[in-house]
Amino acid sequence: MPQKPGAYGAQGLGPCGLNLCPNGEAMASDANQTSEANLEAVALFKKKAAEVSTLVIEVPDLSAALDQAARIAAQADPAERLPTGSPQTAREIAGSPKRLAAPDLSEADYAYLAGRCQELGVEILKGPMRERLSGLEAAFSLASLGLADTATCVMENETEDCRLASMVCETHVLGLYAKDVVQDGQAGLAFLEAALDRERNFVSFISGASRTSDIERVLTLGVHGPLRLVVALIGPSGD
Amino acid sequence: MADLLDDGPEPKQLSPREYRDSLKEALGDTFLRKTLDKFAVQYKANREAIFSGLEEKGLIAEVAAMKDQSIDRLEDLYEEFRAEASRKGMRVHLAKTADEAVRTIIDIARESGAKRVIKSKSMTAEEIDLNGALLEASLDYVETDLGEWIIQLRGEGPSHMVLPAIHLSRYQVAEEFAKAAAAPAGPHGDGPVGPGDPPGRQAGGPDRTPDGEDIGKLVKVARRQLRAHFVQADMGITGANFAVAKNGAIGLCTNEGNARLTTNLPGVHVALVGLDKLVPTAADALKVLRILPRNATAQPITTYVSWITGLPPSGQSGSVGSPQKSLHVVFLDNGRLDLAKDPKCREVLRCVRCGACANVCPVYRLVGGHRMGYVYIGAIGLILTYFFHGKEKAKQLVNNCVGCEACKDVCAAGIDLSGIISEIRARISESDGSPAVSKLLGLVMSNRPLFHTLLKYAKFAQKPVATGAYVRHLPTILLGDHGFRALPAIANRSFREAWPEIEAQDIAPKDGPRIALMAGCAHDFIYPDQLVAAVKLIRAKGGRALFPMEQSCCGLPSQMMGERRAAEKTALGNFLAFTEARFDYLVSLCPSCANQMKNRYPTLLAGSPGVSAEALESFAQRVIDFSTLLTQVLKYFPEDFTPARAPNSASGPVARASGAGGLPKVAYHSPCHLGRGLGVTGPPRALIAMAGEYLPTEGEEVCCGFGGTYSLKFPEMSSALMERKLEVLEASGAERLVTDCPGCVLQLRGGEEKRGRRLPVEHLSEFLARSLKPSL
Ligand code: SF4
Ligand code: SF4
Repeated sequence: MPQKPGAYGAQGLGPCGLNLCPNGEAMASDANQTSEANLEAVALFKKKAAEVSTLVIEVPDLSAALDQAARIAAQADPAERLPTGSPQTAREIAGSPKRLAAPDLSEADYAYLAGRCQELGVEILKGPMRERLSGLEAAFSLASLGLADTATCVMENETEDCRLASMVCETHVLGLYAKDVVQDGQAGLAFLEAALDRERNFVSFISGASRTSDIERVLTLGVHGPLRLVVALIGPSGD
Repeated sequence: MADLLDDGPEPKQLSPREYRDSLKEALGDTFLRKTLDKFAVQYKANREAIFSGLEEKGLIAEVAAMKDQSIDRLEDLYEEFRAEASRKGMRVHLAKTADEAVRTIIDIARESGAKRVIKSKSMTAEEIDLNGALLEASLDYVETDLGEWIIQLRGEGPSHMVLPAIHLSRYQVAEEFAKAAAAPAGPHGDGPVGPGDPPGRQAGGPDRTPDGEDIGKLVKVARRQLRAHFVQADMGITGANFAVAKNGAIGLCTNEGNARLTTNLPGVHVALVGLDKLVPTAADALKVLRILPRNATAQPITTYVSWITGLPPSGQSGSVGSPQKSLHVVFLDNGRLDLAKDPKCREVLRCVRCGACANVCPVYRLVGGHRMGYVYIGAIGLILTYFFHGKEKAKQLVNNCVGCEACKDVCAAGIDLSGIISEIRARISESDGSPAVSKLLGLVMSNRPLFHTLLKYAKFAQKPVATGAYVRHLPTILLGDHGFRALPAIANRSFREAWPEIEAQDIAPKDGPRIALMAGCAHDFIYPDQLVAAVKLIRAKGGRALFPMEQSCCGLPSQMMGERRAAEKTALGNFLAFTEARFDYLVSLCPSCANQMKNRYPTLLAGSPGVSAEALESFAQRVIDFSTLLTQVLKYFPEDFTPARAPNSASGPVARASGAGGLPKVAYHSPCHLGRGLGVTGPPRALIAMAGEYLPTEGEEVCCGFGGTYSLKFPEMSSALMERKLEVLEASGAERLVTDCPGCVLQLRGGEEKRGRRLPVEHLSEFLARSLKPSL
């Protein structure tokens, strides 16, 4: 069974079961944030997300977010097969079903998602992503924090597989707990500082799909990374 | 195109003539002109929108203050970073010079056995010409930022710090992609695709390059080709936007996400970082992040910001093929530590490389980045060329600045870019000796009696060729490239000659404020009528006009030419002459003079014998521009005017009175040194609206191209700036153009005269004095 909303943030556990900051404090949901402030931040997040063509879907809990991820993968256009020198043969790819990568889910959540994928005929994988650097319709990951004023999702401390999946997929589905959305970078500062205090970390601020304006300044999505970013906003805000 | 960059690390120095020829060539590139024009207009609008509701100047000041503190202790910050990062397993290097940085990086590649390198955009790598060195060391490298990849295929350097390929059209890009696709497959041919492969899953085989019409398809080609390079690379080189000392962490901003792949896929990651990117804490990095993307591309934030500390978790248990990563941070000095100790120019190190100073620069807009910097582009490019690449490479470049201050006004870090550009000119002319012309100019300008005598002779000398207000019939051979505007004649009687009479007319001086007039050369000798009009306006409200006879040129032209001594000498002469006249306000109808006296005298005269700091400060405080004097000191209101019906200036026919209520439609040109230099934008527009119908037009604040001595050095640039402006104004439906700077009047009136379109151009003082109620 999927963990209940809040299981990661509120207990200070990251998606891969590690503490979000060295001293075990819950950083993602700022204890000082009132429900009104959180409601306001969530509203702002949604508004700003629309401005950078991030699709926000609201779901009651993590299982619903996972359902959406499986459905998005199933309905996606076939991902382009890019030349990566991977050992897979062309025939394998031609016959392969749509794929969804979800490297950093807990075992229980992964099992749940695998069930959904099976129903929809989607192949689910955890990794190793280095062998699957293209032809990936979607990837699911969990964000630790949302910064409303720039519609930014903050991911940290993921495994390399999780980072790679979020880059090489065509649609990136990011689960974000509504209660973890704060107003702006300033409000997320304590989180960032704690994250950078760790012995090792790769923290990613993600605010939309991969984009470029390098040819005649025409905005084009999906240059290296995902063509689409979907944020599944989980649970009620301000709890 | 990229003649300043193409010749590799040691391009030949262009002579002034060659440099001007390259400018002319760029001016003829219509695609470039159109693209950069469109960009300039859109950038301005987008930037305004993204900063709306934010305390823009406050954010900039915060970055400036934080950076200044960091610049004070760069070496400590480096030490702090090194200790923390090393403890976390990163390898930290410090390279004193560009060569040393190159060697360090090549050594890292050798040690790790890397053969294939991918790069994510880094201006610092361009600064040390890393690409040339990689090739020499037989290391294959591929740029992964789309724009950088395009110019790599073309063998060019970037023409903009943020949009490196902005000078190219989609068709040129398509052509390069076609060539690249026709070349033998990349380093690692992919498995063949079976005939039964469904569409959308095709792989391998040469790309069928789209014809260029569809940019989306071009981007797809890049996605496909570059993905292969990412996978095969064994070393990734990036820059960094921040190096956080406290945590030993680096931060990278990209929109494409190429830096995330470059840092994650290869086993070795090298970040090449200028020492100036060091900030004390993550909070400080966030200060920069709040303004950098907004100023660079009018985005609230870049799509990706990656923060890396220690050796990021790589691989997962059971995953194969993810090698243990190594992460090197190579800090580059290359003159930065010396610059940090340079009291006049150290603020250059505040730069966060947003590129905005190019986006708003009228010179950049005309000729593009390859003519506006050696590696770095725009105002900061002119400056960094001098500090990082030496005087010789900077010599021609630093002259190609019209001094409009648009860059300073927009800078994310509040750097006085235009001021530093003149400082560099001064340094170059001090070390090289000045060119004969500017030395002569400096000599004449700093000797008031000599200067004024010469002007008197010039008046007689022009007799045979001057008719009315213009110098006509000058043999074209004398004018050469300068014939794009009619040149005004020197007035029959200068203002100083007329002053005793004007002074005597004030039979009953009121005890209103004592207002000292700074005539400036243009008003004194070319347009004394504009000053006479100002005297009328001052007296009408009870002000007392004074004219200290010992005043001379404000010194700006000398400073623009790099003649620092001459500029100091004239500044001192004026300071003493005006101080003696005991004034409440010192007004100049020329905002360049006012700006010079208010904002530059305090630095120029600091420490001069006999000039106390308090006296200087009080002097600068009392310098005021003309329209602020009228609105705030003399308190002009709409009821003081009967709106103008017909100009009596010699410049044009009677204007049709066709605006609202029969008022003439009046367009405004905002002089650079007024709108930006002195920050005065409201009062002149308000005054125009009191005496006519103010008609806002596009780009009111864009430089007219006069720039004092600039128009003499680069006439083709000056004329291109002017033509563009006049085209917009003529199409706007305006019946008259008002501005409040004699230089702008000279340029725009002269241009209109030449164009024969005859949009009357006048100084605000003339416009207002003519409309003054008779009772006043
Ligand atoms: S002062 Fe004007 S012309 Fe000179 S670099 Fe700045 S923006 Fe360009
Ligand atoms: S000098 Fe200022 S405007 Fe120019 S790139 Fe640097 S920070 Fe940006």
